[in-house]
Amino acid sequence: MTELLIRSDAADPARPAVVLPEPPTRRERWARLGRLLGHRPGLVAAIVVVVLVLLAAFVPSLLAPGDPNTGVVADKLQAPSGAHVFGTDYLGRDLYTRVVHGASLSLQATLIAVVVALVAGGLIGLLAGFVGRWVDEALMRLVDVLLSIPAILLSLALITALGYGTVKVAIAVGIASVAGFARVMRAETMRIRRSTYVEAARSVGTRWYVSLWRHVLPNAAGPVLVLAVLEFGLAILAVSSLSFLGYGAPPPSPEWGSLIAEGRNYLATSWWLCAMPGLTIAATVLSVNRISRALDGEWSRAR
Amino acid sequence: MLGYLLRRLGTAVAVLWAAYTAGFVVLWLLPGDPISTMASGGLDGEPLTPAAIEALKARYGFDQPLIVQYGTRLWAAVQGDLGASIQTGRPVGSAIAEALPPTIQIALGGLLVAVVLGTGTAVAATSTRLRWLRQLLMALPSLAVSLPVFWVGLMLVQIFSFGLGVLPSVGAGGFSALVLPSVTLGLPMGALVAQVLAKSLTTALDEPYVQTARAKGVGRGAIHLRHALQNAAIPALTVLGYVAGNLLAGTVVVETVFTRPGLGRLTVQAVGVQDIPMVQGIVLFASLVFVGVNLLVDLVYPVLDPRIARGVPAAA
Amino acid sequence: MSELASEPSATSESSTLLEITDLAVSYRIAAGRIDAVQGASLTVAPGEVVAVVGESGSGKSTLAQAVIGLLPGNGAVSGGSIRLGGRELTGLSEKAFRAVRGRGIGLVPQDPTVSLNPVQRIGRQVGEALRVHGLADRRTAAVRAVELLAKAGLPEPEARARQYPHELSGGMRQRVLIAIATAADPALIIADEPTSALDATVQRRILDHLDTLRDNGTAMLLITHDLGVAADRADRVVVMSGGRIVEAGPVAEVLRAPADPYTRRLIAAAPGLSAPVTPREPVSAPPLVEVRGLTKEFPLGRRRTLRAVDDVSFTVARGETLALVGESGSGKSTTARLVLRLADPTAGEVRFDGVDVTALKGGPWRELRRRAQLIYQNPYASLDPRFSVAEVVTEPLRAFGIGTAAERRERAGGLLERVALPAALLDRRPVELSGGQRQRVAIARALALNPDLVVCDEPVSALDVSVQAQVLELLDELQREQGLTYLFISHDLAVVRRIAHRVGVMREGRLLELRPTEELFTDPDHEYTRELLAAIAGRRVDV
Repeated sequence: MTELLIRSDAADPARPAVVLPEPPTRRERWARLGRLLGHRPGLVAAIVVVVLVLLAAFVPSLLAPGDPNTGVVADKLQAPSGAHVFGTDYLGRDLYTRVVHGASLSLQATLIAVVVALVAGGLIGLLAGFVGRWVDEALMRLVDVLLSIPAILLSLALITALGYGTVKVAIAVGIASVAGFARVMRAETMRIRRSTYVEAARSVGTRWYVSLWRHVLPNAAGPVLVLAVLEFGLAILAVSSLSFLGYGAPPPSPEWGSLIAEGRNYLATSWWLCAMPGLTIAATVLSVNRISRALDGEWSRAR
Repeated sequence: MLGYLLRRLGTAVAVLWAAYTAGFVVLWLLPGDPISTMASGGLDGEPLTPAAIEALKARYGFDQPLIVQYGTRLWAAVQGDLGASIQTGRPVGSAIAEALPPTIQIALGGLLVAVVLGTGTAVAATSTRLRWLRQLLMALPSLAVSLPVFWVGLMLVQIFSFGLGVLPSVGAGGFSALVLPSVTLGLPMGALVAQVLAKSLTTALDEPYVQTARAKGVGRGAIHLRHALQNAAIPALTVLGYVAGNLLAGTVVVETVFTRPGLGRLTVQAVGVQDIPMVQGIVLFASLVFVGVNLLVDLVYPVLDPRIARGVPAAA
Repeated sequence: MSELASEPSATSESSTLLEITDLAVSYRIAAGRIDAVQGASLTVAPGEVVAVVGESGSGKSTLAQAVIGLLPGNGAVSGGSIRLGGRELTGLSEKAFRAVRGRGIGLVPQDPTVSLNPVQRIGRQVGEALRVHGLADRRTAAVRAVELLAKAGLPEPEARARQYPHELSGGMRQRVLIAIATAADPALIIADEPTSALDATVQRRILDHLDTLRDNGTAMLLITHDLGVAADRADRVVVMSGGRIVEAGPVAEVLRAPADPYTRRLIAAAPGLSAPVTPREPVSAPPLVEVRGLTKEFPLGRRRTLRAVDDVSFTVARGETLALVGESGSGKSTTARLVLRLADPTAGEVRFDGVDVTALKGGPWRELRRRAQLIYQNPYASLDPRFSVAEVVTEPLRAFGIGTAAERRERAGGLLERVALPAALLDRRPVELSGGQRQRVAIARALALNPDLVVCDEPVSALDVSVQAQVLELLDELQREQGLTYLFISHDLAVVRRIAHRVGVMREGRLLELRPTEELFTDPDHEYTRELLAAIAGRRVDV
């Protein structure tokens, strides 16, 4: 297909005429973004969900002004209705308010996990891919070992060692995902380091650290950031699983996984106590994955 | 071929040793030592006397230098002795062996669900000519991987046990008790298989050799089965190996949701009381399974792709 | 003979096998529609070879795909008709078209290295072409496949049938693909750039084999970018440009008296068709580069090594262009990299301007970078996609800390002018440029430090013919203005003839002969050189 888009260089053999596509203006870029989103209602919905979740995490009282930890006992275990959109729990607390206020805890843990994985994995991968030889060998064996222990078991082992709590769970989840980042970063670094344009840079006398900074890092950043967004979704799931198992924040706090664990006792009678926080998690993860996919290909392809 | 096999086997053993060492470093070095946890009343008992602590340390070998401890434990582990549980005092190995049978049942069930669902969805999605159906089938796996596993389990219980009353919600009795846990375990893994297989099938169908086959006059279905599937199977097989290796980990959540006995529950209990030898034993066992499964996968590769069997990359 | 050809129909008496009338093909893309082929009409008679010639984007491949009904998913015939043996092919259902493919029309694809199923044995893939049309069952297919492989000129066909594609060379694979295309004995073969992925000598043998197919009365539609190949092999030639047919006629007529200006340009640019403007005499000047006994070995598994460069010695005089010619694997590119010290030789010596640079490290090694530059084959890969043109061109200046940012930018503008590009390009990114423009940017980068030596590694082989000619002219001009010395690596003797003062022929790591250009072309010493010369397309015709 691409060959159709490349026109031959010149109309006159004596002097190469230069056919220049006009560079896109700012307005055209916005128009392109608008067109892109217009054709993808799913992506728009995903962005809206993520914005809402971020709002809930940073200014929860904007979306739910009530107190997540006090309830009216008389109103306990009410099904979703106009007054309580997500229903109420066994103490009569409004579930919607609790979910909104739980966002900051869940997101904080997720963010820590992603940062740990990104920084540690990224550095390992960069080092292995750029230095090569025995450094690469050693680091990649380490990564193989990390990969050979299923993520959740590795997290559990770390929790056994570190103890309970949201931050510790987050660190455990992050360390369990280091291997994935290290692999992608190494693959990208090696691909770019061996690319012709890096060799070209070296052959015009560019020093290795300059080429690392100016060629390798910027070109490797894209795929790694896509992975980071994807990892964000996976980390939400992992963190909520661990708090469901009871290793996260202690009971009164409305962390999403803990909410579902609480609701489990009322499964037979009050379905919403599990369903609503679960749907919130699912919607968040789905949206994050959708955005990751958009970053991965559609935006660059649509240009 | 023999060289390939031996190399794989060597790598597998090395990874296992390293996994054991990693487990040792994390579990025995990070928090001090488990005796201190016990001594401070980490278990429900009262704090121990200094003499009792010394006795315990001697019993578990904590009075030795670290490197000696590591050596002794590694040597014991090689001989199959994973030490004794701090919680119950029973050998870790036999505790794992006892917990295994019900876990194997749902693990196999989950694997079956994952393979059937995964390949079915991918093949259907890439072979249908209906645009809407293809898009729907392509979207389902990414939906499924976004759902929290424990929540899916609870919702299935809600619908099939409490709502329709057709399947039991808890326990380990009989075939019907296996269905919901297997589906819960297999669903996200099947989605993963479906995503990878659909993607590699799509890639394979775009390859020039498919064009060659079409130019011969071969039909769509035959191209799918005779040409694309075998070429697309390798990435899918890699993922399947990963999935199968992770089945044990999945049972941690699933067995908790369905209150089934098994290895997953054993893990949750052991983590709950910081039973370090037990956790380490389970981690080692899980990576043994992972390495074993992937060794198996490595042996299947050459059957699917003759280029791997000769040990040479495709040369022009 | 083919069912379709022997089918009694209204047109069976007429002498056309394939008749394309006013064909239009378009692609749907995000921004709308691209008309890839417009108003194309041509005919192919039984047993005739018609070549469709054009550069990339001319629509020639789209035309071929439309005829065999294998347009990509977003492409469709939007008008006109394609008739094969009197039968209309446009609008045929997928199922009906399946019976035509293989049986009525065979396809020889572009790149043999990726066009065979890598996990299936050769014999089965050949046999499949018979089995889908019910011409053989499982047992007879295996036997017939071996016969077909033998007919396609493969040695030991029984053994080949049991092998997998990766065990065969590119040329052998192309023969397998020809066996597949001819298996069901179609009346028409479409050969889509059948040799562009192959080495020159292999290329010639494959084309010779395709020639023999005409003896059975098979017609061929030969799609090629190489006017020389078309001139050698076709009865008639059709020239395409921008989706339209600009000229058509018997080969000799079109070459002798091209009516369309585009055709004239194409003929002028085709390296094999026209003799060099002025033969270049050897330069007598002191040597800039002296290479003695250069050897490079690569480890190949345990204990085995590959000797990529084997005891090569030569000198390059100041202001001279020395070309190294060879097929893939001949060691010519490795030699270039050794001269530049981008790789370390196993043995031998490289002297640059009298100084031994064989073992340079650190600072002195970087100083060599100032004086010796490299231009890469693929201008799509050698420019960082995230850099602007200005950043690419000023990279060498930055590396050596020359000038302020503003001065460097001004310098970059001047360099672009030298390679005949407007300074307005400075802020563009490589993606926005065509292949020829990119290669000019790469040349500008190579010139930034005023080097003495420029090594050109296949600098034009990724470019269209007319663009090739322009880039070669530019290199020539720069040499005359600045007294540059070139080490020119190429697989294409015809290109080399235009630019080199002396030519060295390499094979399997050895330098077979090194002679002044005209001498080598008129009186080659070595048998292999003669073979290479014979393989240049376009030498069969006298213009």
